[in-house]
Amino acid sequence: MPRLTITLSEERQRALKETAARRGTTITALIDESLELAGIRARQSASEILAMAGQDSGLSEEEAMALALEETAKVRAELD
Amino acid sequence: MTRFVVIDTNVVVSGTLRGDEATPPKQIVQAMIGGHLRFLLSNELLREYRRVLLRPLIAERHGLAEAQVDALLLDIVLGATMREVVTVSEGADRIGTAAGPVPAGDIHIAELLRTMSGSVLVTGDRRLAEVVGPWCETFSPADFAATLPR
Repeated sequence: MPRLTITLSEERQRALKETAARRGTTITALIDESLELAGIRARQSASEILAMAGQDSGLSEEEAMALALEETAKVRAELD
Repeated sequence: MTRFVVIDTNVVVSGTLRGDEATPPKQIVQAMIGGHLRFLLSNELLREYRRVLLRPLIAERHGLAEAQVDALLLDIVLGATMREVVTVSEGADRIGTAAGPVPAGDIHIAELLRTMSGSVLVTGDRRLAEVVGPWCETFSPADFAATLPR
């Protein structure tokens, strides 16, 4: 796993160590959790989800668009 | 200057309905989540993406769980330029064109396009493309995907 060096204030660093000790976790895990909460997620995950999507749909390109149009139209018709 | 695009719901949804990565709608969604596209999004359009992606007939075909749909949408949001759109019921008259008024269900798309001068629409809906065409450039998914960097 790649390593990253960051610069924090002494106060922030102390708070980080204390919080990790209090929660019985590591500083790395705390930072990882904070990044997740900030919406900083691994790009790969959404790409993987997209790659999985529709693998077994059995639809041609035209059929996929026709179904998408039909279902979108139903949702929009509710607003008409 | 790179123009902003609005990606219609039918493009995002059809992008999840085929496994083939060479499918233009899938390439477009990949560009959205990969940060390779400058696109506009409103809360209303985002809600519509989600509603359609979770409709039974669609979910059965793409095979994704609700949490996976939400993860995909989260990355779409992270790459988007969010715009505030106020859709009013009389909007159809206000943004009507020579090709006819924008149908009520499509007004949020037209209003989103109006928030950024020169923005373009990517849609598989020929009727909508015809209606907004007089004041907004439109692309089919295939034509737009061909402009994406390889």
